[in-house]
Amino acid sequence: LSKIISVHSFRGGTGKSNTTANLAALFASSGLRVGVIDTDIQSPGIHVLFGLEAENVEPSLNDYLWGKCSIAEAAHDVTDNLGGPISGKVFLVPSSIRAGEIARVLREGYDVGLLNDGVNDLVNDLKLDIALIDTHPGMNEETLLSISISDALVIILRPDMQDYQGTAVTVDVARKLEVPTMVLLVNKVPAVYNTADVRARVEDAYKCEVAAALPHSDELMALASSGIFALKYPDNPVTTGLKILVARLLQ
Amino acid sequence: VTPPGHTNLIAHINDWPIAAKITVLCTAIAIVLASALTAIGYSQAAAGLSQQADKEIEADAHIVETTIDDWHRQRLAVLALGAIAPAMVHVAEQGDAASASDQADVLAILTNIAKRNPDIETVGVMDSRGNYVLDVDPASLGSSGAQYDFFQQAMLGHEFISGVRLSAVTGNPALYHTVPITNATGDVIGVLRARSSLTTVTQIVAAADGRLGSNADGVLLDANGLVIANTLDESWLLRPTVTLAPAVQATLLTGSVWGPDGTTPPALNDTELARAIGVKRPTVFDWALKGVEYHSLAMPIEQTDWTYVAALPFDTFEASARDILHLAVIAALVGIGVAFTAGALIAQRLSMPLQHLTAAARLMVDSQLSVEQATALMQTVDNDEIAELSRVFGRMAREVIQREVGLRSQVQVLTVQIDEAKRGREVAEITESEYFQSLAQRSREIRARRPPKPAA
Repeated sequence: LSKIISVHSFRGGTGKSNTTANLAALFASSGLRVGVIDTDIQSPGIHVLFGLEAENVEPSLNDYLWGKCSIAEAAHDVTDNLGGPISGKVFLVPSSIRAGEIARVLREGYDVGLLNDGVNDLVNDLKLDIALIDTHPGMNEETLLSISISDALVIILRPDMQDYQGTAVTVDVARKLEVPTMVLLVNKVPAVYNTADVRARVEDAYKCEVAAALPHSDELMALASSGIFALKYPDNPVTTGLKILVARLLQ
Repeated sequence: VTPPGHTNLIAHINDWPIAAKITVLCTAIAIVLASALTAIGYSQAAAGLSQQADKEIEADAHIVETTIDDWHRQRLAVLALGAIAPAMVHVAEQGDAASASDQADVLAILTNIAKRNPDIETVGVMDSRGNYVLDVDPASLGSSGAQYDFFQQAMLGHEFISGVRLSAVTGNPALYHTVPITNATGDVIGVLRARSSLTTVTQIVAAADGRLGSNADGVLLDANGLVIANTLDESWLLRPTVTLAPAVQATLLTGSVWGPDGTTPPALNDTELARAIGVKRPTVFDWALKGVEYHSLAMPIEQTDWTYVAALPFDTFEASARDILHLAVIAALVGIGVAFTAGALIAQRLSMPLQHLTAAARLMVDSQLSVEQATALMQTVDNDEIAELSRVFGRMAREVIQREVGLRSQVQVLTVQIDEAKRGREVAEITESEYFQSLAQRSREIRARRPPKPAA
């Protein structure tokens, strides 16, 4: 039985794409077939983490949305780019990085209903165990759609005043969409905070399960976007937290 | 391929404390330098002393040689002066027929010569047939000496110095100096001959005994290698150095070298010493006698075919070199000791601050370093690199400690502030839209169509 999981954050810069890529790698490491769909059409970026060169991004999600190809044709097998022994598979449906394509989406919009069909087609065509949707920050239509079709929602926030309000709204909206599983992930927790304490306080504030609170990691910053952190640093506290999240999502 | 032992040693040395490495390095350098300098010093000193010994031996031998030569020269000169007296010519020519006044004059000359030269035992005139015609020692008169080399050589016009032989008259070793007596036309008409004891020659050689140093010795050999005089053993007198060739032995017996009825005494059988016989120029050679090693020089005597051998035991001058070596070894050991001590002190001085620094770094890793300890490092005096490193490390450590202390005091309690009124407004804005309503509706329908999930 397959699962659709959306990864969302109210604001950008929370580490959403990075977390999505690491979740995909950890799922695939346990032998699952994973599809990742980059619906952040306005500012795509997750393809870099999967080692996909700019010239290899096509065909993309955009081509599917304009009816140029099927969604399965826009899925790239990036398993070999992860840099680790992977028993499962990771397929990426990237968003186009062409300026013209991005401008067209902003100008014309697209039928968000196609996303719903696309995700379902992808799951069926590639026989996926997991479909991960990397969403656009904020609360636009395609984000609401993504949440509505998901079996699980991961909301990422940083311990930052600006994140608190938007996250609260997202939690409430998701509740109204009756997402079966919703967990929070507190990312980039500065060393001055105790992660266990942070986890407890966030849980209390939102009355929502916090899967993990990940400490700020210099190694993660240093790796930048040049690879999958969880595979390179399997014993890092960040990786440990991500594994807890993976286990939670597989329940 | 590096042998495994070698690698182990290197690895082992790498594990040593810096102080041990510096000390061992200083000591090793000192040992190499001290050994090299001692070896060079000793070899130079030994070579110098050996050269000096050569020169001293040669100088000493030269003294003996010139003294003996002078002695011969003086005898020949006295005889040559006497030989030109007119009375001497008359007596040689006429024998007993010469006038009484000539005979008296000649006898006066001969007596005068004998008196002025104490080691001349006798001096006399021989006629052209070898008969003794006038002599201060009447015992010779009436006999003939025609068979002797000293007569034959003088008759040929040469001044002659004979070999040493036992005198038929005295039974003591003696030698003969002869000069020719010539008439007005230059014909040799007789011979003036003197027989001298070896007293002076023996004294000259004896004077060399111990002159160069303790146990310095001298040996005077004639042309056939017979010992004329020596400082080692009286019984060597007239004994041959090595066994004589039969022809030489026969000649010497004919010449009554060992007395009128004498036999050849046993040879010394000293082949090393035999190398000195008849040398034409000063020659250095090694000579061992009765367990003593001699550094020796053979010096030819100019007036004769004699050779004087000066000998100095190696021990005499090598002892000095050994003394120098002993001193050098003691100095080297002291030098190595000083280098070891200095190396150890310097090493300790160098490594002490490093040890402090290392200890501080270990404490720092365990967050045990105190601000006071870091401050103490900051206040390191001296101006070398280690001191500077200590100061820099101390400053860095203090800053880190202070920052950590500051951070610890700032550990914050997260407060999640949410504006609930605003939250409600924003949620309502989204959820009250038509799009959201239909989405929620559709979502419910889709979920309802899905088969129920199996229990986790």
